Amino acid sequence: MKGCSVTIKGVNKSFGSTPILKNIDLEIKKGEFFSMLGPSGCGKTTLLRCIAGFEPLSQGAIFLNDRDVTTLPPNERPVNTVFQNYALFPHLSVFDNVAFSLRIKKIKTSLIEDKVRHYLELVKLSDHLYKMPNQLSGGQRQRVAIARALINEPEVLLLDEPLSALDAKLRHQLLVDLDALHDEVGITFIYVTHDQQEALGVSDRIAVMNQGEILQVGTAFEIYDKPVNAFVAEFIGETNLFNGLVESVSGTNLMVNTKQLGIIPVNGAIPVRTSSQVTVSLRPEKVKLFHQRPVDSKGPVYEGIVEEIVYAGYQSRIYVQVEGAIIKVQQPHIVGAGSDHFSWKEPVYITWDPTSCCLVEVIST
Amino acid sequence: MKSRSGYAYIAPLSLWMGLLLLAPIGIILSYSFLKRGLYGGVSNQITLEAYQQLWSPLYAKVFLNTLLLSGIATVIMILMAIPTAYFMARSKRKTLWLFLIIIPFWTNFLIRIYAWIAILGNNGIVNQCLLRVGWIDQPLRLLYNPLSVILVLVYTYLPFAILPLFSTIEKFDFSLLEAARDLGATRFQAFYKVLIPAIKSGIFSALLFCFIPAFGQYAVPALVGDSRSYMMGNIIARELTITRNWPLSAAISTLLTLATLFALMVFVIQGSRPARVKPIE
Amino acid sequence: MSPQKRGLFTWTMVLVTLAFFYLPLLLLTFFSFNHSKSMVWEGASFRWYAALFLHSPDLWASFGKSIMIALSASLVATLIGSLGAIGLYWYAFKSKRVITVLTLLPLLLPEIIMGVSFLIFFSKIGLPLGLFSIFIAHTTFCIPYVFLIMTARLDEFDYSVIEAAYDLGAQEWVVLTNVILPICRPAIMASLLMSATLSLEDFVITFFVAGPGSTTLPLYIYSMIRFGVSPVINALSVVLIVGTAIIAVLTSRLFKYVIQK
Ligand SMILES: Nc1ncnc2c1ncn2[C@@H]1O[C@H](COP(=O)(O)OP(=O)(O)O)[C@@H](O)[C@H]1O
Ligand SMILES: [Mg+2]
Repeated sequence: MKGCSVTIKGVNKSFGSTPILKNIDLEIKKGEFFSMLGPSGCGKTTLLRCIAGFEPLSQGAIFLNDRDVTTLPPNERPVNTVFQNYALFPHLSVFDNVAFSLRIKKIKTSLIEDKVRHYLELVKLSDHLYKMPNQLSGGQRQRVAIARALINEPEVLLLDEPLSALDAKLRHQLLVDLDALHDEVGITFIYVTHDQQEALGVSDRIAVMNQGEILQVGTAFEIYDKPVNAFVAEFIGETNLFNGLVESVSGTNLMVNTKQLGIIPVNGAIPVRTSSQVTVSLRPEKVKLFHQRPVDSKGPVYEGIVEEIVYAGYQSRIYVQVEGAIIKVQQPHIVGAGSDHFSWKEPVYITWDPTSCCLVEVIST
Repeated sequence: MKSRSGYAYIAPLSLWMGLLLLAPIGIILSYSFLKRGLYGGVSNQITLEAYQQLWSPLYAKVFLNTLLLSGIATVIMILMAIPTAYFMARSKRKTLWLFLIIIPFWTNFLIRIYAWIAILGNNGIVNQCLLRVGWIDQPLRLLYNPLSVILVLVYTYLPFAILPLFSTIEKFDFSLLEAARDLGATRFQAFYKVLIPAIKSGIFSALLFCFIPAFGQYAVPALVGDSRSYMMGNIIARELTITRNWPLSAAISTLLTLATLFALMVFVIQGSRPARVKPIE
Repeated sequence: MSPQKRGLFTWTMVLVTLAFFYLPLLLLTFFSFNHSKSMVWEGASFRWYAALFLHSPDLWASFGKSIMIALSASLVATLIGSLGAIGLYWYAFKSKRVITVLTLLPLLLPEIIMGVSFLIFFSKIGLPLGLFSIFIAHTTFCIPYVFLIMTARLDEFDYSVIEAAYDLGAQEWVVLTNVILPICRPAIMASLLMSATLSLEDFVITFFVAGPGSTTLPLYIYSMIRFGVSPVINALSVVLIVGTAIIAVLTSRLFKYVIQK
């Protein structure tokens, strides 16, 4: 834990008798862009509020830069929060909102002026100094909230779904800006979101949460490629999940007998024994789709029928009926190539690389 | 959050309301169980005398009379207020309409009563006009009867019905009415089956704001009523200041309070019950 | 009548309501300019206005007392009611519900009950009836209105604004003075306005708790109505209606808070 920016040790939190956070352990490094990702209601906001000091813990401890802050009130913790609904002071202008914490510290007026201008420049809001919050757009309000939190020079910045109230295009732009801002100020960001694309896009590491528990902590690549269980696999990106019995094991190469597809080769990173009940995952973008039976495929080949095609801009998702199952396939649009065009009810062939299908969960041995 | 400094905020409120509201109400309640003093006031002797006195046809009649007058006035107010509030809420000039309702609402209560005395009194405008043109020889007795009490009650408390209804109807999603019309309801059916259930809580709070002051009325019957339109409030004042039977006055007050709280409970329970959704026949 | 044409029925009802409200007031205004002492038109004159402004010292003395009580009662009620509303909103108390119900009680009780219980209470504790007893009674019935207006305002903005202030390093006192009070300013103004109006307006409760020498304006008007109508009251009515309208224009910004009740 030495040298960590935030250390969370055995934290439990209940509202009444309902446990909301269960035994959370987490170490967040200095300067990291750390995301907490999970479905709505899984306890992300609660964990963030515990770090900020708004919720007393039921059990456990929280350290900031190796200092125990478990019992410190929010105004004495070196962290600042960007609230989900921004929580701008409605009676103060942009300038006064940002200057709020400096005024409390009774800092010299000229210094306040300089710092406020600097931070508003940082979030590209220099033109709106004297507007009131209700005269700003959603994106601008959010930037004010960020500047207001940063001006205090906290050791950690907490962001609670800061983009959730914005439209898709703006969200993307602000996410890029946020990433740049993180590089510029260099402090630890803890970013809470239920949107996996946001988290995957900018985070150094991600913690995936569900029902008050942390399921997996890792880089975007790790949790996408090596999900520790079926929930993570399904929550991060799209996937096809199959249940089956392990037929044979040789190193990391397994053969799994699935109800839907029969016996398929599976890449198993988790140690497992023969005849265990397991769940395996096959990402849609790893499935290849052909009009004719492919001859040189190393993996299994199935014949199927196109059940449904959903166009989504630069790619389409195609649902293929194979034996007893519907397999999701992601197919990029290749401009000018006729081969990527599939139509409804057309007979097709699918295949994938034998290493693409991976073991994600051992249900029973 | 921290609750020690919280007490500093609520201490003045709790002390004030406890000492200067709860104590007087407690005293009036306890007086109703005491014996009447020789020259007004009470003597320290517990008795049910006051309640026994109350148990007579005379007071039963006053009670029913009070209920009837305030009930009729309340119904008239609600019937006038719903269309008015609906119109205001749908208008583009809400502030103007609010303004037009607030001015009579804020105009001195006694002046509003006086306006009707000036119009309907024996020497009032109507009688003077009729006398002038010779249609009558004697002034008509337009005032000092139960009807004039109802009229003036409606006049003074109508804004109390309009304002809560306005703020409820303002929040109503008017496209629901169009949806109902689209589904085959007539205009009236749409109103009755969609709007009215949706604004039920507003109707009940309007009922509350009109009925409680009307039911406990003192000034209106005292100024424009006669002995037939005496209400409980007038009896309470008479026993207190003229007959100086304080226990009886306290007992009637207790009865009036209980009746008011009962009405309140009925309205609150009715108003908070979710609207039943009935299909349109 | 069947409301066939769009809004015909509601239009009619609105016009009826407005006529009902304003015709009596217009008639009063008209006759305030009447030269005659009776309600028969005998030519225009400012006679009753002259009498009102130049020869009614008692009336103006009662007006002065009303203003004094209205100012002091609305200030104290706003102070106590606002602090209480903030306290109950801000902190968790076990007795929260009890205090809320107790505070709102005066709204639910008929005025006469309040008047009678104050009268008996004051005589029991030996407080002489006069301006001070009126002040106490008025403050008590104004507090619940202040409480409601303030609570509505506090409900209106998100609690996370207060948390944001703590998060940015503010102490409790700073949060109160720099965040809560400024945000509540319109509600505080509305509370003062509402309390002052209620106090100026009150007749029934004042009637019971007033003593000799503490005749307020409503009590004075009452005795004018009761004992011999003088047309001065017509002129006074017009002055009061116009005064009300002017105050309403000046404060229309605050209607939103006053109406929520
Ligand atoms: N103050 C509270 N009292 C009771 N339950 C709460 C409170 N705050 C949050 N919860 C519950 O805790 C769970 C987690 O909430 P939250 O942390 O807000 O989830 P998230 O931010 O991940 O959507 C939810 O089921 C919510 O209902
Ligand atoms: Mg949340």
